[in-house]
Amino acid sequence: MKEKILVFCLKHWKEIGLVLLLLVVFAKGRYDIHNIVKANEISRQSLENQITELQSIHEQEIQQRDEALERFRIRNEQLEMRYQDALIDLANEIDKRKKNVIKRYREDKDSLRIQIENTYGFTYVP
Amino acid sequence: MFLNILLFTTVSYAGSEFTFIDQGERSPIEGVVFNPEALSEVLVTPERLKQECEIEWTRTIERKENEFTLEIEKEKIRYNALNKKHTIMLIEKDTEINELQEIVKKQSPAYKWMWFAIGIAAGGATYYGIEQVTQ
Repeated sequence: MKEKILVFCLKHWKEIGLVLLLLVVFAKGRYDIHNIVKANEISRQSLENQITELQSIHEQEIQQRDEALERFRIRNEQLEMRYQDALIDLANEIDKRKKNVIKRYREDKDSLRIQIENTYGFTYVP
Repeated sequence: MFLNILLFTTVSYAGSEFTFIDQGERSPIEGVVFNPEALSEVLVTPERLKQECEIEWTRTIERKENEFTLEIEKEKIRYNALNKKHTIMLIEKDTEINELQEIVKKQSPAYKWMWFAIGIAAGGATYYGIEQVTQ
């Protein structure tokens, strides 16, 4: 039996060598394909991670911008309220001053005369 | 009714003059007469306009300050986001490169001399074996 195998191998050693070589090439090809698939998987995973992280950062950015806009709106509202308050205060102050002028006209014409002279530079004619 | 009257004159050659007169009293100068209420309006108006201008300026400046503050905040947010994105991409790319390098290293001829020697030995042995068998 061994002799038959040996004879067979000797007779067909080229074919056997070719088959073995093909098996080696096939295994190497499989190994290369496996590595290519693995590289592709790594790239895909990396891109997915990047997309996830970028989306998260983008959402944070939008949220922070919304918060900044809200702060801006609140500051503007406060500003407008201060503006309206200042106008009201001024109106009250002007009203007081008008009443003061009328009062001084009736009670203290001299101070009023001085004020007119200082304000407009007019000359008083007795 | 007692009414006090103020009289302003606008005659140019007489200079700018004013006087106080009571109702029915003869005026020493030519001009326009205001009652105390109108006089108070005339006296207070310059200060009122000045104060209104200051309030309006303050409001405008603060509005601009608010707008610029918002712009600065938006730019800072944008900068931080871009910085984070840049860092994340660098880390991910570095990781990817390292892992790909590991694969390439497996493929690379790191042990090429060993494989060369094994090939020579295997070829020689095969040749010798065939020679021995065929003799």
